[in-house]
Amino acid sequence: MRLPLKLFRAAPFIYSGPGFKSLPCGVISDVVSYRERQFERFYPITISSIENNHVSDRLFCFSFFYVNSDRELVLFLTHPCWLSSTSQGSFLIDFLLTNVEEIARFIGSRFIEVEIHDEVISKIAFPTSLSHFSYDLGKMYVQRNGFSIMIRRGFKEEAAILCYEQKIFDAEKLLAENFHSLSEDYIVTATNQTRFQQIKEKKKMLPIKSYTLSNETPFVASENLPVLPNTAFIAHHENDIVGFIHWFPNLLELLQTDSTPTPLLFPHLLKTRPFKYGKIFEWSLETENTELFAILLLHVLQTMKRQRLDICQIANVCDKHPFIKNFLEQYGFQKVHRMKVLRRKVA
Amino acid sequence: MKVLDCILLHPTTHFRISPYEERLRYVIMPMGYIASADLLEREGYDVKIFHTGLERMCKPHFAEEELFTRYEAPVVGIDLHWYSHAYDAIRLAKLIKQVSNAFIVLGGFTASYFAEEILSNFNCVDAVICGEAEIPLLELMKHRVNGDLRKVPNLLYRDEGSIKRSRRRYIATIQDLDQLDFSNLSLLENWDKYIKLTCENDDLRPKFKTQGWVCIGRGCSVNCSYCGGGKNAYRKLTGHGIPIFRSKRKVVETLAAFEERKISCAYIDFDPYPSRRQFYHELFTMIRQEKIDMSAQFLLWSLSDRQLLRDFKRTFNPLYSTITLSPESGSEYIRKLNKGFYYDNAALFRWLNYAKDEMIPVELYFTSGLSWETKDHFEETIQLGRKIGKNYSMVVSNVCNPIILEPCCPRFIAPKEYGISLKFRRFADFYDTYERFTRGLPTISSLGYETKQLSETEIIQLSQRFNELVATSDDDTKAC
Repeated sequence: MRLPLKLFRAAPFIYSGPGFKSLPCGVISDVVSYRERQFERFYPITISSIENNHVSDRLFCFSFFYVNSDRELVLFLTHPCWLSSTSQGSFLIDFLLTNVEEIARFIGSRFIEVEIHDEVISKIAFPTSLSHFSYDLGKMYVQRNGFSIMIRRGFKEEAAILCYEQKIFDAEKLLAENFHSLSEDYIVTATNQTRFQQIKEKKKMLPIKSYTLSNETPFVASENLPVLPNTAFIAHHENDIVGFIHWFPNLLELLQTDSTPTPLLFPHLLKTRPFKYGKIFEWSLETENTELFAILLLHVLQTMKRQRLDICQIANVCDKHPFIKNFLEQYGFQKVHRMKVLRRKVA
Repeated sequence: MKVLDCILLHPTTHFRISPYEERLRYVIMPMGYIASADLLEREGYDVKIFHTGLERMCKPHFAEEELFTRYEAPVVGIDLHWYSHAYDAIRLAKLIKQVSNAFIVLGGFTASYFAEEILSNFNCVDAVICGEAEIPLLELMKHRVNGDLRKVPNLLYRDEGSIKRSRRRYIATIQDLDQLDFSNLSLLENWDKYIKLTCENDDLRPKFKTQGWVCIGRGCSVNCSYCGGGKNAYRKLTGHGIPIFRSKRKVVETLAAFEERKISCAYIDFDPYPSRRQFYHELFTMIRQEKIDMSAQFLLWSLSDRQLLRDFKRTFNPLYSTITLSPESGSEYIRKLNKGFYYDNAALFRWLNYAKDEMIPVELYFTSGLSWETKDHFEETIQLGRKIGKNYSMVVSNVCNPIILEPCCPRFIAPKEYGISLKFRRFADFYDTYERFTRGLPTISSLGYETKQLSETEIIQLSQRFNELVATSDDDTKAC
């Protein structure tokens, strides 16, 4: 039960979840309350092997418990990360899953889910995960058959989640051309941290939305990120909230120059460092209304352009929901990343 | 039953909080314990270290007696470095005497300071090594067999009803320190669990990092009013007049051995010459040259220049690397009166700005109960803590703890000069207090003193108030 230093070298990552301030101290304590019981949320699992009296770290998996929207307790695994090459890959995956099942059973969870980066076509901006633990997928070794490995071990596909990208200049131009006379029915305003807290529940009620692990609070990955100026916008119709969109600069770019797994400890960097990518990771709409989505997207694109960003990515698009997919593809966005969430019952 | 030549036991502080629950505290061992055991092993003795608190964490029904049904040894050493182990070290000694005929020897600063009182009052203890213990313990193993304890340096021992002190004195030189191996953790039972304990009051809950304590040197160049390990204390307890450093090559070897054992963070707490930090610049260069991949928690004893922070940043893996600093008080006046290394608040903020620019997480520690400190002075501490909490998101720990009286600190030696009145004077006072903690009984005093300005209760409440008002939270960062 540890997170080895080697991981940060082999697969640089950013942790932005609860208690991120104490990651440098080596302890993140976040307690899950479930059915009158309390237990630790996070279980960083490292699988090592011993050869010639030498311990080698082979495989790492960041795992944590969350309560899904059906009030089930789930043990969630981020994409297992290989730390060194080995001929025992299959055995180590089985060993990992055996250990994971033990933890799940010990805590009383009946389900295990795993996030697999199934297809990585381009550079993927932060956040790259449904969890608070985002790997730099350009540096991480992503096994091509990760999906089939898990399927062979009894996992079933729960969801496929897509990320699209487009150059900001091109996207804004196309959208502006097609929505030159935007309806005045909607008023879009930027929100701040305080207002964000106030509308949190309301935005959750909007039916057309980005994929998220759970609607249950307090563990929703997107809600732990700070609301920076002009990164979250709310669309109002009359006095009702009808749409919401939230983006963040690509913190992974900081890993190139300012090596830290917890850049949120240094918020001044968000103001002083130039970013190339921005990523929309949360959005919600009252109805499948292209104009409403276009208005929100245009606000984000214009802000990104003002901040001299180059590329916009939009993540957490569920493969099963054609509305946003079709919209994005129609306006030139290209699919760059596909994640799959797989699930199996604890044996 | 396995027969060993020597068993070394580490005591733990037990706090009973209900008839059914106790908490284990002060679980970190003195660094020299591993080195002492390793030296014995290299000289051909079978030796093993048992950390009694760790054994209890691993097996909740662990009883120390049970160890002596599995192992037998003619010599049992018990470390009594920190006063907080005063009761448990003696409890262990009594217990071992009941179940074995072992010769029981204590060592460490607290045992050294109170050696005569301990030997006078506790028959279960046969000897105390006063001062540095590695070579004396080895000599004890050699000479105990023929009963000639006079030849064992630094030893106070019982001999036919009287207490005698050997005339030989041992003070470790740099060469002596370089002969020691502080990394041979395999001599400690359950060492792989021990490296999961990352602070004094830790337990075995799942955590991210593993930690190893690195010996850089011994001694200090100043006397902080509250520190039992300052310049004068070191001179009195060990004979060291000035601090000594291990050679950098040996420190690097320790770090390499730690890396091999999957220790992710090196705890470095030795900085006796803040104006001369060339040692660290050179050490960091060597660590980089050797490509040792490790994080470090580096405790600065005073502020540094920017270059040291930059060097630290490029040397250690950023995952678990932090720098720790203890300004102790927000009042410059009180800081100047109590700390050996003084700096003003403007210099502190300059340093924090350097750390922010270099992207180094910082841990800050304040205290209450300093000599001459009033409630008004403590308000300055709260103001400073708040200002730091508001402006420096990279301060990952910003806490305050009341000072507990340490034997041999300047305030203990000359309480009147420092404006305090002592409640703990003798070893028996520490022993009684920690026995009461173990049994869950009320104590007369937990800090061991009060100041002219503040009662013990007030000192504790001030720290609590700081932690309520200033304690760091993620919300501070969210507000960025």
